[in-house]
Amino acid sequence: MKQIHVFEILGRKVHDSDGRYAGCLEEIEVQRSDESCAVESYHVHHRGLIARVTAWALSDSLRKAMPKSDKLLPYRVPWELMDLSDVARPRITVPQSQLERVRPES
Amino acid sequence: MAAIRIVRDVLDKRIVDRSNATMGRVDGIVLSVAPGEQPEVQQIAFGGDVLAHRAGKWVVRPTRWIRKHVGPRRSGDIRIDWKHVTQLGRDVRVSLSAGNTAALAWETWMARIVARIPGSR
Amino acid sequence: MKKIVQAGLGIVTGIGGFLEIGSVSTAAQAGAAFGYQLIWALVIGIVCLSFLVEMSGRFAAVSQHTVVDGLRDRFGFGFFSVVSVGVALVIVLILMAELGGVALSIELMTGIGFPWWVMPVLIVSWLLIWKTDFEIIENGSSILGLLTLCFAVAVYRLHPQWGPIAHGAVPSLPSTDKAQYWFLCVSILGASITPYLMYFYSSGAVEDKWDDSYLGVNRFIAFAGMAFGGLLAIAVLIIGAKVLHPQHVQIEKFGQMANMMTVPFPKWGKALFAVSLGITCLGAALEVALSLAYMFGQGFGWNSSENKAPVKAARFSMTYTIALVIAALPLLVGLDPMKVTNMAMALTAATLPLAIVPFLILMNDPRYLREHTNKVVGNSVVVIVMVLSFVLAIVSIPLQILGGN
Repeated sequence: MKQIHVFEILGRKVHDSDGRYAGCLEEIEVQRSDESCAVESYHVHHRGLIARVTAWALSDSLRKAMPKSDKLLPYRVPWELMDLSDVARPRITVPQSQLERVRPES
Repeated sequence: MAAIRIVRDVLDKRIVDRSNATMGRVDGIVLSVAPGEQPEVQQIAFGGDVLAHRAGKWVVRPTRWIRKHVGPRRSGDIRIDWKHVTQLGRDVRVSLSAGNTAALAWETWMARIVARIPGSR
Repeated sequence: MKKIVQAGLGIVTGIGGFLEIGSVSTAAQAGAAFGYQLIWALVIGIVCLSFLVEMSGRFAAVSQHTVVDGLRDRFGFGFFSVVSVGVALVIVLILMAELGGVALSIELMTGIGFPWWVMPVLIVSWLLIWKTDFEIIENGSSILGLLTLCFAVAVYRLHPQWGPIAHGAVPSLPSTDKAQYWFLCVSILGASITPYLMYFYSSGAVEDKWDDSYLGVNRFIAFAGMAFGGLLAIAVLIIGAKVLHPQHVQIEKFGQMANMMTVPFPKWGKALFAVSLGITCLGAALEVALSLAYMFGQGFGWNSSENKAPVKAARFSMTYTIALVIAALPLLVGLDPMKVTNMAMALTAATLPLAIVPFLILMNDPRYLREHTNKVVGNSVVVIVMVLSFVLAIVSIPLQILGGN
C-alpha cells in the first residue's frame, strides 16, 4: 500500500490500454460511508484544463447553449480500470471506446 | 449517499474546527492506493509543504530552506484523518479543535513576535 | 434601524471608495488637458464599479464568504496564486500612491518636502489599523471624507455651463495628443475600477455578518454610494477643465492641482484641497493595506479579522504591517508619487481581466449564489468595460512610455 497526494495525479495525461491519449485526470469521485471514503471513479477529460476552470462555473443558461456533443464530456473511469502504479503516468486498462461518459448533473 | 467529487467539493475549501474557528485550507488530499484494492481517501492535508509542491518544483527547495531557518519547529505538513471530517459544504468541518493540532503553529509563532510589538493585545 | 444607518454610512463610504489619489489626480489631469472631453470615461468607470461593488456585496451576503474565499476554493491554489501575486503587486503600487498622496498633502500645507512626511504618515496609518477595528476605519474615513464635498461647492462657485459638460459624457475622439488622451482614459478607468475595493467591501460584509436580508441595502449602497463618490470625481474634472484648461496648464506637480482650488476659494482653496485629499488618501491607504491582508489571509485560511487584537490574528496583522513598510520605502528615497499614481492606475486597468474574469465566473455560479446569480445586464456591463479598459491599456501604456516625455 502506498500513499499518494491527489495533486500528484491531478492534471496528469492519461493513456488507455492501446496507448492512446484519453485526456487529463481532472476529478475523483468518492463514496462516503461511516467507516471510510472509497474512490469510485476518476474523470478523464480531453480538455481538462479548460474544464476545470469552467465546468461547474458556467451559468446553466450558457451551458445549455453549448453544443451537446458526447465528445465534450469527460470519461468516467471506474477505479478498478485505472492503473496508478506509476503516478506520473496513469493508465486505463481498457481501450477508451469501452468507457462511459460523465453525464452532467441535471 | 450522493457521490462526492473531491476536487470540487473538498480540495481548497476552508477547514473549520469544532468551535467554528478557521484552521486552514484543504491544500492536499491523501489517498491510499494498493494494487487490486479500492483506493481510499485517508487524510486531508494542509501547510506550506503541500502548497509548495502544488505551486511547482522550483518552489519546494526555497520553502524547505526557509522552514529550516525560520518559523516554528514541526515536521512536515499537518494531516487530518478523514474520519474527523464531519461535514462538507461551503466549508469542510472537522470534529477537532485547532488548538490541539499543529494547525496554528505558524500563527502562534507569529503571535509571539507580534506580542512584542506595543499595543498588540 | 441598523440597516438604515448602514445605508447612510454606505453612501458616505462611496466617497471614500471612489475619491482617492488615483481618481482625483487622473480627473484633474484629464480636465486640465482635455476640458470636459473625458467625462465619459469617468461615467462608465462609475457605472462599472457600481455593478462590481453590488456583486461583491451580494456574493458575501448570500454565500457568507468573501470573494477571495471563492477564488481560492473554486479555482484551486495554482490559479489563486497567479491572481493574488498579480493583484498584490498592483495593490502595493496603489498603496504607495496613497501614502504618497498623504505625504504630498502635508507638504502642500507645510512647505516641507514630502519625503520627510513619509515616515510619520507610515506610523500613523499603521497605528490606526493596529489599534482600531474595522468599523472605525470604514466609517471614520467616510465621515471625514465628507470634506471632499468642497469639490461640489467649488463647481457651484465656478458657474460652469452644463451643456458642454453633458456633451463630455458622450465618448468622442481626440483631435490632438491622442496618446495622452487614451492613456488618461485608461488611468481614469483604472482609478475607478479597483479590484481591491471588491475584496475590501466583501470582507467588510462578512465581518458585519450580512445575510440575504441585506441584499436591498447592498444594492442601494453600491449604486447610490458609488454615484455620489463618482459625481465628486466628475466635479474635480470640471474644476480642472474650468480653471486649468484655459491656461493650458499640464499637471505635472501636485501643487498645480491644488492651485485650481484657489479660483473658487481664493483664501483657503489650497489648504482645503490638501486637507480633503490627505484624508481621503489616508482612508484609502488603510483600506488598501487591509485588502491585501484579507486577500492573503482568506486565501491561505488564516484567522483574519480586523476586529481582533493583532496578537489574535498575527499573520494577518503582520501582512499589512509589511505591506505598509514595503510601500513606504521607495517614497522615503523621494520617488514621485504622481508618477507612481498614473502607472498604478494604468496597470490596474491592464490587469483587470485577471481579477474580474474569475470573479464573474463566481458570480454566475449557483453553488455560491443560489438563485441570486448575475443577470445579463450586470454581466454585459462589466465585460464590456473590462475589455475596453484592457484593450486601451495594452495599446496606450507602451505609447505613454515611448512618447511620454
